[in-house]
Amino acid sequence: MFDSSNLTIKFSKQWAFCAATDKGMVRQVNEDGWQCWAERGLALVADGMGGHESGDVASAMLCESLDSAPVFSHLSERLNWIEDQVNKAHQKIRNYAKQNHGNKTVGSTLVIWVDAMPLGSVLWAGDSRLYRLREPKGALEQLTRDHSQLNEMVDRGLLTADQAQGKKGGNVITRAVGAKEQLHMETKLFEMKPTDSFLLCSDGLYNALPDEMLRQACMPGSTVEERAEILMNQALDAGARDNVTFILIEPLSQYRQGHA
Amino acid sequence: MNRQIDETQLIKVDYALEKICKAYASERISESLFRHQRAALIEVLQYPALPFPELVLNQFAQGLDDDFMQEETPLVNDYNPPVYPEEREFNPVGYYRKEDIIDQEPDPYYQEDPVSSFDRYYWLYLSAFTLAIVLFIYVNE
Repeated sequence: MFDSSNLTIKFSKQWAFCAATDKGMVRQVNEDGWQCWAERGLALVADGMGGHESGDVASAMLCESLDSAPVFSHLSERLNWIEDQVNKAHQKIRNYAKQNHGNKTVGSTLVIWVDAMPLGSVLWAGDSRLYRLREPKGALEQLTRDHSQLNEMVDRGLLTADQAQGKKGGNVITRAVGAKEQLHMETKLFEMKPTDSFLLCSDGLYNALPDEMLRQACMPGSTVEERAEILMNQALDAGARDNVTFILIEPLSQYRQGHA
Repeated sequence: MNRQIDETQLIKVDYALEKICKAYASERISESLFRHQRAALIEVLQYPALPFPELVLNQFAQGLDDDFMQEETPLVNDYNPPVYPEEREFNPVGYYRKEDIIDQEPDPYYQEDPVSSFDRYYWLYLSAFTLAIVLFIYVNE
């Protein structure tokens, strides 16, 4: 059972952020990390690579990497700054791995949500995801695309999307911070409306639960803390084989109503 | 800044951004060019009156050979002829250039291919072989 006192809630003028993390039902160590800078409109989830050494150190380094975010007038400058900071963390992780674990790989996936109303942006590497729930239809949309071996094969035309369904290789990631010499994060731009809700999460959540449960968690109704607690308990009840981390981001009710 | 995002423009930008992200990830464009192009795409969304930028997806193909110049095609505006930078402007160290081949010294260890040698003397071999058969038949008669 997840202890609700482990939930963290932060607010900006427009958004409520509710974050939760748990080591899950199988793993001994929680290698996931999260951070959000509510007033700067930034949130991040990192998943230290399972099976590798010191994944928790890697994700912690990433969580600290954006601490000193200055104010930028242009979104492109902000994205450049974020990439520069993540690249510095990438080098730190690689140096750490070299000094402490020889040449063994230490790394972390990463997904960063950036608010630049009415635009939004997401930067990511690996298979941590960003979902958006858009009212009034209430459909859950995955905005990121996993950097996995299977997706690469689909991109190269070696497999169709249908053939890729259920094949092995979905959990083999092709990009992660700290893993290869060069890091190339992917960027996506999207429209942000005052009625949109967002879910940032590690693979431990979406592998444990069907999309419908993720969608329910993003639907407004009860408070964001209650929904976050329910979501985490559902993941743990489902046997959560991996660490589970997520941040629910939703517009404050007065902000939502003002733009409804 | 315009508070409304044009949906059609967003779809075009999204498509273009995915392309330049892939080009950057496979190191076909440099980080600075990637960032420059991404900034141009963001500007198009924020200021819809701006023309859609022509994008470079294979910066380093420029220096290889004139035959490969067409690799660099503008992504969206296919109807305007692409404006190419000066030839070999982007030629990075390590890429093959024509001058390298022209100035090359002869290789002292070069050996002629035996198959080519056979091809060159094919008619001579054939004539000798035919003559040998004719002589063999003539002697045995």
